Amino acid sequence: MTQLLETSRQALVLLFTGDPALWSIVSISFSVSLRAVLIATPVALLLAFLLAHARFPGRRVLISTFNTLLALPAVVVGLTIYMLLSRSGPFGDLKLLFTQTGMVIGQIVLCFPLLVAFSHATLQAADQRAWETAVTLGAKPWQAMLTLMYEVRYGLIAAVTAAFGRIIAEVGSSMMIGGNILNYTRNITTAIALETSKGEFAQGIALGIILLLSALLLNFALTFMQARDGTVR
Amino acid sequence: MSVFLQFKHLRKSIHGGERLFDIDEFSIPENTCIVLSGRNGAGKTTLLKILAGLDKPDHVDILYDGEHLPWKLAQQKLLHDVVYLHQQPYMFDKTVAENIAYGLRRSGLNRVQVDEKVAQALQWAQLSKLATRNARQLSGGEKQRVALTRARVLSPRLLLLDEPLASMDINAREQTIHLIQRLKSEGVSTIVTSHEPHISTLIGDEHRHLCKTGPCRYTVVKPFLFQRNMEQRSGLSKQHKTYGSREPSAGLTLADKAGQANKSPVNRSNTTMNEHTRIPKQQITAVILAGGLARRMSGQDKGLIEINGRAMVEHIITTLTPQVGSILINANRNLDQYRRYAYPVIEDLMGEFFGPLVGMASGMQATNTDYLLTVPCDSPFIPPVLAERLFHELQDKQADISVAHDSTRMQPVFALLRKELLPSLMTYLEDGGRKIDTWYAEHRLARTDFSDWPDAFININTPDDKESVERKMTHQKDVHKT
Repeated sequence: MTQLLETSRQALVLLFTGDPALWSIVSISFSVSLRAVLIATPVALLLAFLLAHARFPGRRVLISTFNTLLALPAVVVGLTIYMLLSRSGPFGDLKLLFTQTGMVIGQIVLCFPLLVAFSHATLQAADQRAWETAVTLGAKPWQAMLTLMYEVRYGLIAAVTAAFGRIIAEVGSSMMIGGNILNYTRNITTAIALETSKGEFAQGIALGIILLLSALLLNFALTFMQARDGTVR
Repeated sequence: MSVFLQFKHLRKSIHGGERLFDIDEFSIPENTCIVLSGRNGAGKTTLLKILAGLDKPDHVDILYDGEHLPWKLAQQKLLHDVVYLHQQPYMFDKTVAENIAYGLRRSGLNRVQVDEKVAQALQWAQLSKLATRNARQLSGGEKQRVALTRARVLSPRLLLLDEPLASMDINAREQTIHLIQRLKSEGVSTIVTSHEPHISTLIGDEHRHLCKTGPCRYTVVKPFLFQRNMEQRSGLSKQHKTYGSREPSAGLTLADKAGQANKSPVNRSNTTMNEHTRIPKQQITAVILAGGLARRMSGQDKGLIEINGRAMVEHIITTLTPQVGSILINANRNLDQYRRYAYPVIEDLMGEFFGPLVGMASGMQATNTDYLLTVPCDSPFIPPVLAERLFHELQDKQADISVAHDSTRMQPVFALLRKELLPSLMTYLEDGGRKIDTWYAEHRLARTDFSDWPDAFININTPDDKESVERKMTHQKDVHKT
């Protein structure tokens, strides 16, 4: 117990003294995950919208597939992409293994099903009248789609937040595809894994605190926004 | 008044393949308010959504401004020219002003023009105070007003209102009705769906009923075989302002005639009054119910049985002519023979020999007068004061139906009914109701005493009855001669 408290104290010291190595790790984590979410979200929203409102063959199969992919383990994604990107793999010539771009690809694959499944559920439950009202008032289909998304924005933001939460906290795919190279592909989770294996608990805990704090901030911001709009009391 | 939009051969099935409509023709004239009634599940909302281009029919031929259009093209036009309002209007999660600007922003106007139009519209609907409120937080009536305004700024040609007055308090209803009337005066055609019988007289120029005539076939009953003339129309629009007033011509005197009638807000319509009876004769249509099977007369058509050389229906027409403005004959057999009397002959609008209520409904939807007088075809001694007395009692009791009473029993087929009862009657019939008494019981009923006319309700059910009636009639004539 005293050891835990002591390491936590050291962790806080590390955080507030602005240890450059630590902050480099943090920035890599956020930069990779934000890029992944930003790329995945528009595509996922469009697909979710089509799944919710268009009728085409294979729609139900797709919905089930994305719901199943929610349970996809990060290491399996890591393994698959590792094989695809490795020198001998089909995309080996792109030289993306052990790069941030490679990590971004892995994280997109991880968060995409979650974005689709959650956004689909939200859009599916949206008030049908919103779409009809928009269209009857002269909105083009794409305008009506944006309106509908605006109307259910909190649900969609929650989906994006959940997706971001999943990939910033995953370790399996980042470790395998990124390779945990210091100042390049070492992010918070791979660093924690490494420090722990070395017995350097202080830095591990400091990084863990940052992960938690960032999640807390994100959720505070969301709740605050909704409260301001009067949807949460 | 020209028709700008015509839907022909409109067919729509719901999932499972059940046919929801099969409508031969649905036309929408310019600058007209159509009230569309029908019971729940009759497809009112689906029809409106098709008219708005929001729902795709299985088959339809569309004539738009006289031009045949395929569905895809027509849909584009409908989405542009028609606005549909939900029963509970949907408010975007934005301010009232933003809600009203929604369609304008997407119509290619610039920001200044949009703001200007929105400001005008807010003033038009007296919503300026609410402009910056979130539209979701408004009351039901306010939402309805925002929705109407939001539609109006787009200057649609046709506005579809789905049950706009359902679940609203009296103030909100009045405001909504007022707005609908103003829209009409601006030249927008409207279709309003409603369960309520009285709405059509408040806002409608035309009343159409979507009805279920079989297990899965729906038709539109087209009312008003006799088009009202424009004069009457203007008279009716004056009356619109008196929403809720149910004391129409009770206090009418001769002084209220013609010109003054138009100014008087209490007047139901500018009818000319019969000087002696002081009842709006022109506003009463008599329907002779000759649609029965006459089982006890071995299927002989009762209305055509000759009494002293003249058909029974002829005797009845003679007594009714001085009492009412127009006469209809409701018959289901021997139509050609009935047509010889030169009065419109109408068949039952649904079912096969469902009884007198269907005859009444058929009469009501075929006429455009305010009142319907019903008489059976087998009672030759109809009192000459029938219409007058029934009418006075109806007015005195502020009732919906005035029915004759012979001191022992009610005579339900001798009745005067208000035209507004049609939707209620249709709903009752579609639900399988056939009994006059039960349906009457749902309404304000005035019993009118005819005990001083003992022969009034004598009817012919058997060949023996016929003989005694003939003797009595000859006797009466002798009495009159002496």
